[in-house]
Parts: sequence; C-alpha cells; structure tokens
Amino acid sequence: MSYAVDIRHAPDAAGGSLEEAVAALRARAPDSGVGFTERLEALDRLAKGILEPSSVIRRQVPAQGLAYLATFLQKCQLEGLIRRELADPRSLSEFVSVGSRKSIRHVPRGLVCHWVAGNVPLLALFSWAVSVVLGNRNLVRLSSRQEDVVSPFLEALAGGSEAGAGIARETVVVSFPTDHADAHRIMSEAADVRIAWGGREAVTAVRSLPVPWECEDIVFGPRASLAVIDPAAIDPKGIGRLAVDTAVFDQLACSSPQCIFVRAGRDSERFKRFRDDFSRAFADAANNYPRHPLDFSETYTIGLDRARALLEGGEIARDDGTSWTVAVLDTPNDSVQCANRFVQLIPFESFSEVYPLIPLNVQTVVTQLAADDLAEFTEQAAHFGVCRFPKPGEGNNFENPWDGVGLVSRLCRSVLRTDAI
Amino acid sequence: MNNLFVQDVGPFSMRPQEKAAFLGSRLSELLEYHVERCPQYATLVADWRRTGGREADNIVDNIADYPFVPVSLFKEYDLRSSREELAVIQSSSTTSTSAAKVYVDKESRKRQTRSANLILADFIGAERRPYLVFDLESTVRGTKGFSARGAAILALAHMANEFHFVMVEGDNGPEIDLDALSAALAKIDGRPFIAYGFTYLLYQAHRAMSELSGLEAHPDSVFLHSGGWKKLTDIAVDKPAFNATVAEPWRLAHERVIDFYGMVEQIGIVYPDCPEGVKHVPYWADVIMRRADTLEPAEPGEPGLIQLISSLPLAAPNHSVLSEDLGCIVQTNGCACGRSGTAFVFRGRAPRSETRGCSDVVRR
Repeated sequence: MSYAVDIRHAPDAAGGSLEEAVAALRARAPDSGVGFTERLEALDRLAKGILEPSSVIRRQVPAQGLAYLATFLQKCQLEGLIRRELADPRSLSEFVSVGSRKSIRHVPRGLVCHWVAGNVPLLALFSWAVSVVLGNRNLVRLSSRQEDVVSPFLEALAGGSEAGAGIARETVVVSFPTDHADAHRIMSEAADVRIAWGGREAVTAVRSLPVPWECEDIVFGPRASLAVIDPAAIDPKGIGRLAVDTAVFDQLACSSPQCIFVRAGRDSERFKRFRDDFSRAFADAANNYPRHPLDFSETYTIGLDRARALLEGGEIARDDGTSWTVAVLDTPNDSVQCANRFVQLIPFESFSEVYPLIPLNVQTVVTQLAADDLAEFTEQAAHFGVCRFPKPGEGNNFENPWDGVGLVSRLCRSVLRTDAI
Repeated sequence: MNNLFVQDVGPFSMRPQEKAAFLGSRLSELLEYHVERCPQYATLVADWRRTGGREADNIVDNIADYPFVPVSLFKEYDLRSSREELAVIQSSSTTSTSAAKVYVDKESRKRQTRSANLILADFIGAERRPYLVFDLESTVRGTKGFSARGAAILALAHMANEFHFVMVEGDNGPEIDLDALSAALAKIDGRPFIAYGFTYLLYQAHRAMSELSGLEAHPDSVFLHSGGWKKLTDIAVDKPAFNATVAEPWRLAHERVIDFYGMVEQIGIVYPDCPEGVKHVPYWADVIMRRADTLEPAEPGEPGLIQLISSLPLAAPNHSVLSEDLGCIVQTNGCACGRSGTAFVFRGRAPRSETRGCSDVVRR
C-alpha cells in the first residue's frame, strides 16, 4: 500500500517528496551562518510574539500550553537550560579551553527527526526549540489526523528576523499516516537523532524502526507524577499553585500529579485543613482552566472511580457534576484513573512510607517541604526513579533535563582538541 | 415493597404522569431498603445525599435524579442486601476480562419471572408453546448460580410448555446438534414455537444449518435473541443480515426474529424491539440517558450512557445501574406500535477513550 506524504512546511529546495526533503536537509551546509546568539534572539522574539494579545499563533493553535511554551522560548530560559549541561556555552560557537591543554567545542549532531504525538502536539516544540538553538536541522512528522501546530510557529519565526527565516529553512514539517511504514523508515534511517513523544504504543513503534547504529534516541514516553507536601510548609498561595499544577492540561500531562502525599495523620486537624483548602483551590482551578469535553468512557470512569474510592474506605470531596474530585485514601488505589481532575490525597507520617509507593514510571514529584526534609526526601526518592522535584506552580514547566535526559548533550556532539603549545 | 404489578394494567399502558408517581414511591422505598441492608450502597447514597444537598428522609420525586451504581462495581465488589443464602448470576464475560456477580433471592426471582412474562406476553402473546433453546442444557443446570446465558434462557421458561435444547459442546464451543434439532421438530410437529439463543450462538448455529433443507416453522413462531453484537460486528454482520440468516431457513418473516436488550444486572426486565424498531420501558422500570461530560439527563434524540432502573431487585442494589452502553430516547410517549411511555434505541457499547495526554497509569 502506498500513501502520499504531505509536505506541510519546507524550504524551496526541498521538493515534493519525503526523500527530496531529507536530501535537501542533509545537503545544507554544516554551518548555516546563523550563530548561537542570533538563534536565541530569534526564538526570544517568537516568544514575545506569542504572548502578544494580537498574536496570530494564538488563533491558530490550541491555547493550552502556549503560555508554557512562550516562557520556555525566552532567551534567559534557553540560556539557563543550556548552562545546566554546558559549563561554557561559548563552546557552541568556538573551541573553549577546559584545562590541561584541551579545548572543547560543541557542534550540531545533524538531522534531528521528531515524531510528534497526536495527543500532545505542542510538547514536540520544546525539544524542537532546543534542537534549533543548537543548530540542528529538523524533520518533524505530524500524525495525519492532527492539526499542524508546528508550521504556524515556523511562519512567525521566518517573519520575525533574518535569523528566524534561516532557522525556519532548516525545518521540514511532514505528515503521513501511522501505518506508512516506508515513510517512517526513510525518516528513521536518515536521522542522526530521533525524538519521539507520545504514548507507549507510539514511542515503541518509533524505537522499532531501522536506524543507523550511531543515531541518538530521545524518547519521551508516558509517565506518572506525584506531589509530596508538608502542610506546615505550604501557604495558601502554594496550595493554589499545586491545585493548578494538578488541574491544568486536564491532569493528563506526564507531569500532572495523580496522587498528593500529605505529611499528616488522616484524622489530624492539619490534614483536614489541608484537604479542605486544597479542595477549594482545586474547585477554583477546575473552573478557571477550561477542560476538554469528556467522552462517554471518561465520564463513566469518573462516576466509577468515585464509587471505588468510597468503597475502599475513602472519603471524597467533589462537585455535583464531573468537574473535579479529591479522594482521601490511606494508600493509593491503582485501579482509580487519576485523570481529568481526579486526585488522590494520601496521608503519611514518614517518608519511608512514600518511597515504596513511588511508581516505576515516575517522572515528577512536586514537593513543598522544609529544607532539611526536602534534602532527605529528594536524595532518597531520586534513587527510586524520580526525574524532577519542582515546587508547586512549576510542575508543568518544561525543563532541561526532562525525563532524566539532558537534551543539550544529546543534541550536540562534543569535540575535543589538544591545543597547540 | 408489594404491589409491584398492577392488576389489569399492561406493562406499557400506564400514562407517564401516573407512572412517575407509581415508580417514584417504589424507588424511594427501594433506596431505603438497600441502604439499610447493604453497607456499600449506604456509603454511595450518603455521598449522593451529601453532594447534592439531599436530606436523608427525602422522597425521590424526580427519577432523573435517582442515584446509580456503575455496573463495573458488580465485577469488583460483593454487593448484596441480604444475609440469606442467595443465588448468583454471573455475566458471560465473553468480551471482558472479569464477570459481574449479581445476587438474587427467591422473591426477586419471582418478580423477575413475572416481569419477563408480562413484557414478553405483550410482544409475542401469553400462550405457552414449545421452547427451542439454541444452547447447551448444562447452561441452566445448577441451583446456586447461573450464567447470564442461563438466566436469559430461564427468563423465557414460563412461556414454554416443553423444552428442547439443540446444541452440544463441540471442539470449539457449543455447536448445533442436528439429531436433537430433528427430534425436537418432530415433536413440535408444526405447532408455533418460541426459540431463543444468545445472539452469536444463534447466528453460529444458523450458519451451520444453512445447508439444511426442509426446515419450516409455523408463521407464528418467534426467534428471540439477546447479548452482545461485538463478535458479529467484527465479521461485518449487521441486523438485517442476521435476521435473514436466522429467519430464511425457517421460511419465517424477518420480523419474527426479535432482538432484545437486557443486562445481567437487570434480569427480568427485557427490552424487545417493537415492530417500529424501538424498545419500550414497562411501568415498573425506567431508563435515563446520561450525557457525556456532565452525566446530566440527555434530551430525547440525544445519545447517552444508559442508566437502567428497575423496581425488582431485593437481594442486591442493582435496581439502578449506570451501564457502559449507549442509547437514545426516541419517544417520550406514544409509539406507532400502540405502546405508551418512553421508548429508546440501543446504540452499542461506549467506545474506549482515545489516549489524550502523555500521562501514564501507575506502574509498580
């Protein structure tokens, strides 16, 4: 069976087929002439454009996540995340001495192929932005059933500055059906880096494609997240931020807390006060952030999970509809689907009760603890697989490293030189 | 708890207002009955009362507000309202991973039988006749429990004056027993009969019988079937094709093949298709379609999750269940077939949700 590949965005020389697009990206000179600083500034200009009320992009792509993306694209943010991995970012422009007569230089890896998940399209723009800043060329594959959320950004970028136009020419956006095996293979075999976002099935499919042995894989698969909170260490503003972290993205992001562990006895006044304050804040967040309309199965699940929580000895606070649910349980109930604004509060006294309950596929644990407790908890929990410990309000901020993966080092090659005497 | 069936009032003859008053008072009683006897149900009702600001002693005056138990709970919990030894009906679980377990006591069984008889008599007449069962005899054996298939077979038993099971266990499950079929037809000797089979079994049997010649049924004979369509949908068999496959070997009109909807959690309430192709609700039961997103009652014509309400069950709180099935109310009163009250169509199982985000279920 053969399908057409839809080329959504491409430089003029890319031609009309996937093979020609790949060849055009590969043929571009290693050094495009757009420097690191110019790239940062072009993306910073794009970020400012997104945030403007009159922004065209706001009308073209879904609003959810746009503010997070705009913040991420700011120069200070991108510089900061690069510094976390590169001691001296000047190495992105020239060889930089690292002592012992050695110098290091970081150059782009080459062609980065991105598989964008239909269910989380904007996420791919985070890794695309890092790739672009580091000077890579990019081939972005959208699912045939999803809206093109990437091309509007490239058009805005191209219209913003000459450097932006240069960057936009380094990205090709294509779309083809999931079962177009040839197109997937062509992309995979051309890749110096493969980046896959999405559900288990999507990322497993990308990993199974043929690939050059030296290709770098960056896989952002599905994850589960938590929060660990000491009611004595959090103020009402923090509770509000935690509620937003939980409610935004309909609690369907990999970084959305599904369970909140609360350091207090279930019958204590401290716990009850936190439960009530959080429930109020969660109700507010649920009302303030629009949610996708639940389908029949999701709607049924809300009713079922409420009943399950009650029959497992839990107590629940909820609205009369299906907007939000806070279930208090002694231990997490894994059969309850903590999504669409259904969160479990689990009381605990000692961190040793929490460690065994950290899931194998954990990503984020939003924490608000006293300094000593934070040091103790994070040191241990990191060994149980946790990738990040943001504060309430930062839970869904895309950061580097993500999922325990340092993007910068994976998206550039480190070149070592012995200096002349 | 008594006076469930009104003398000389047909199952579909009560006017809507009269029915609302009749059913409302019975459902209020039933709610308290199960709250007192089933602690889990009491927990669910307490949450319903607390959240909706409903007082403990209030009467249910709006059936659309009546609380429900999601059907999946009958797969996960032992919900019962009696400490007596009870029979158990289990769902067939042909396409799901676990079976629902629904308790039934003697009184509920009596009510179920009476209910099914009244409903079916309204569709196919009350006279008893030979009963051709497209299933194994072993499906109805046992005294302590039945499968959903067994319960459905027995729901029609009181319409029968003789039984003929015409399938045997084969290498790949039940298959038609041509000797038994031949013997049954010889005994029936041209009289009108009633036949029943689970939808897929009935289809499978008739596919195997397609080469048989000389079959003929009295034109007043009727084939009833119930159960999921998933296996048939998978092999692209729709209702007209199914009806033709079953009716034609017998030289029966296709309308003599009647699909009825029912759930193991609501045995005794059967919903056969009327000649207009819709399902009618008897005065001792109700259906509410619940909207996606909000669970609010859907308007006529709008699809919704089917909440099934029945005033029959006493052994377990399965008198109001929210199913995972979709339906649509098509009339609130007055079908061309002559039956009054709510009529609905069944739209199949709610599709599974698509994956929306990058969150994962917890893995341990």
